[in-house]
Amino acid sequence: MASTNTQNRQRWNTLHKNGPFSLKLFHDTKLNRDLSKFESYNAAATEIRRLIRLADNANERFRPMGSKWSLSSIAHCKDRMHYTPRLNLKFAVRDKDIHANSPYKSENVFLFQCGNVIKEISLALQKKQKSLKTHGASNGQTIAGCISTGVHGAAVDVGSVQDYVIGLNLITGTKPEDVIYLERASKPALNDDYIENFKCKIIRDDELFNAALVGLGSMGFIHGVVLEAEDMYLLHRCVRKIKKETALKLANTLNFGNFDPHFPVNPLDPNPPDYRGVRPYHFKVYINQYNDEATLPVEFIYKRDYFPNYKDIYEDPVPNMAQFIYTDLINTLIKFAEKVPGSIPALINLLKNSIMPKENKPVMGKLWEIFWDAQYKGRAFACSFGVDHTHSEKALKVLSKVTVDDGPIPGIFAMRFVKQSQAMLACTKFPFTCMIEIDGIQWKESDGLISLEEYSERMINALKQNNIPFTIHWGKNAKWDHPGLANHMFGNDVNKWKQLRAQLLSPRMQKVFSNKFLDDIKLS
Amino acid sequence: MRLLKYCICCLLIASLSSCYTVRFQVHNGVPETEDSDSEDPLAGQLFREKKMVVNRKMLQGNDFFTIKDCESGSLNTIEYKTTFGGLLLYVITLGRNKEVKIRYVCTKEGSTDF
Ligand SMILES: Cc1cc2nc3c(=O)[nH]c(=O)nc-3n(C[C@H](O)[C@H](O)[C@H](O)COP(=O)(O)OP(=O)(O)OC[C@H]3O[C@@H](n4cnc5c(N)ncnc54)[C@H](O)[C@@H]3O)c2cc1C
Repeated sequence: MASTNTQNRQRWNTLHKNGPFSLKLFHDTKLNRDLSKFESYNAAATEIRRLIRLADNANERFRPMGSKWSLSSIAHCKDRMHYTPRLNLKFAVRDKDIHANSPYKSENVFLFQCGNVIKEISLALQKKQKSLKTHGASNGQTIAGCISTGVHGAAVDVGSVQDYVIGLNLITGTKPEDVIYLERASKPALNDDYIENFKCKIIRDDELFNAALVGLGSMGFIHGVVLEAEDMYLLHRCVRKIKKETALKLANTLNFGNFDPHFPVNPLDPNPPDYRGVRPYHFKVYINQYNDEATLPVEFIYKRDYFPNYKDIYEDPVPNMAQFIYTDLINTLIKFAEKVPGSIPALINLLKNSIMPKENKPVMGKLWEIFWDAQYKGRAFACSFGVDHTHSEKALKVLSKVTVDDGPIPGIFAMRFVKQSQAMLACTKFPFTCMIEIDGIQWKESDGLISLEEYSERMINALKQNNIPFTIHWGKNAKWDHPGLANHMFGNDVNKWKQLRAQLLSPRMQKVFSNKFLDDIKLS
Repeated sequence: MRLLKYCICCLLIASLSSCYTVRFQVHNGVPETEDSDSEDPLAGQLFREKKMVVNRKMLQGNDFFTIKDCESGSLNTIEYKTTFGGLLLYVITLGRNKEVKIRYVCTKEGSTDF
């Protein structure tokens, strides 16, 4: 058996202290590593069913959590929370395990138990000369946590984390037959014999799969995630300050045909690149809305074939990434704020009076080296809206205006661009979504600023008034109980998602797998 | 008397300024995590803390501390902290003993296996 340590708790909080929230019981499950891998995995499934049964018997709600990196209350539930990062088994598959109609190569298909964190997966894949296709700006989230909120980076033509997920092992209830393996009928991954190892009922259904992909923690317990990796590659990164109008034009059009990022060329590069006219793998624009500078720092990353001596030519990227300013947006702000520790008015003054620094040094590294560890663990907020990329300049103007006129708010903006997701409730729902985000430091009432809720409400209203269709990242701060928000963002897909959820979960289990967040957005 | 006070002040300032924290972290490893509420740089990581009096044998590097509680068998992070009390002990025992505070985080179990 897997073993669970259960604690009585009064409070729980997110990594960036967006609570506290009340809590009764906290479960922490550990694998039995003396068993074979399949046995250990199946023992964990039995234990998860037992915990779900306990919640159901007590008429209480139950919620698996990952690394608690979400800043919204999506991971919280007042009754029973289940800590999953210790559930981290990893499975590679062989040719004979792949479904006969599968479009995937066995060497690229892997099953990861829910609690594997992104960095752990990257390091494991590296041993097989493989890599994830993309992930967020850092790497501490669990794979199940990532897909549940739709985590994205700025991989323009790749998509979000859930977009390379090709199979899900869900536990939707207390009985053995509630252990389900779900994948697309149109693109099956694993064959029935292999799935038999996990004692699952098999469902192949595109709509159900797309609904469960970004499941908000409410489509049952995601026990395992099957994903498609790819051959290891390198990323060549440089931040350039370019004219604001050029940056915004690139954002609106994603047309890089006439653009030259002027990457400094390293003469030792075995294949010296020419990125003129090439659409980058990753495109991110940083904006200090308080200072109308004529240039903006833009992070360009181009994908390169792997070559082993890249560190000899371009240095080890990690120490550079640890020092750079333009990484995770919150890190960028914290590096700014270092000069004025603890003072919100001083930070805002600093933002008003400073220009964004240059950071011209190019680096090259693997995905996990470029999007390295998050370094800031203190109090923070983050709001993130998805709009069609053709609206990016307009939406940025609208949101900046709210921030400056109704604020000030101690944060700065960035825009990232991501290909459309097939997941029904993905915030990256537009053909190319521009995720406009503002990250910053939490403030107190005594700082004399509007509340975060009020700020979020005003941003939502401003986008509505300007007829800009939008989504909001499920893991970020927002006025989630804004009337009709989910319907405004996703239209008919909201009802479809609820119906598909009812297909997967019994009415009792829908209650068990709900929380206040789901109630607030009227999806429970 | 004034000279004595002056000497004590100097000693205090010198000792306080020699209190420091050093952290070592493996860059290509994954730490063992836990659900904690702190805002510490190690927040979210399962750290163990040891306050130890280090004797001369250890200070000379002739002996090892053994760490028995890493189920993965390896360390991800070590934090070494000297405290004022520790320095005082060092001074009082004429360099025979020193108190140090160590916090360490193990590598996450199973994070490196396929
Ligand atoms: C430093 C930092 C950087 C970030 N960078 C980015 C970024 O670049 N891009 C981006 O898109 N987001 C980013 N975020 C947001 C964050 O990545 C997401 O909110 C993500 O979902 C958090 O994953 P987690 O493992 O911490 O899950 P949690 O926050 O713990 O949970 C998220 C959701 O997943 C559900 N869940 C977790 N495990 C399971 C399971 N086994 N079964 C079913 N449901 C489950 C929970 O119930 C909850 O609904 C960042 C956050 C931080 C703190």
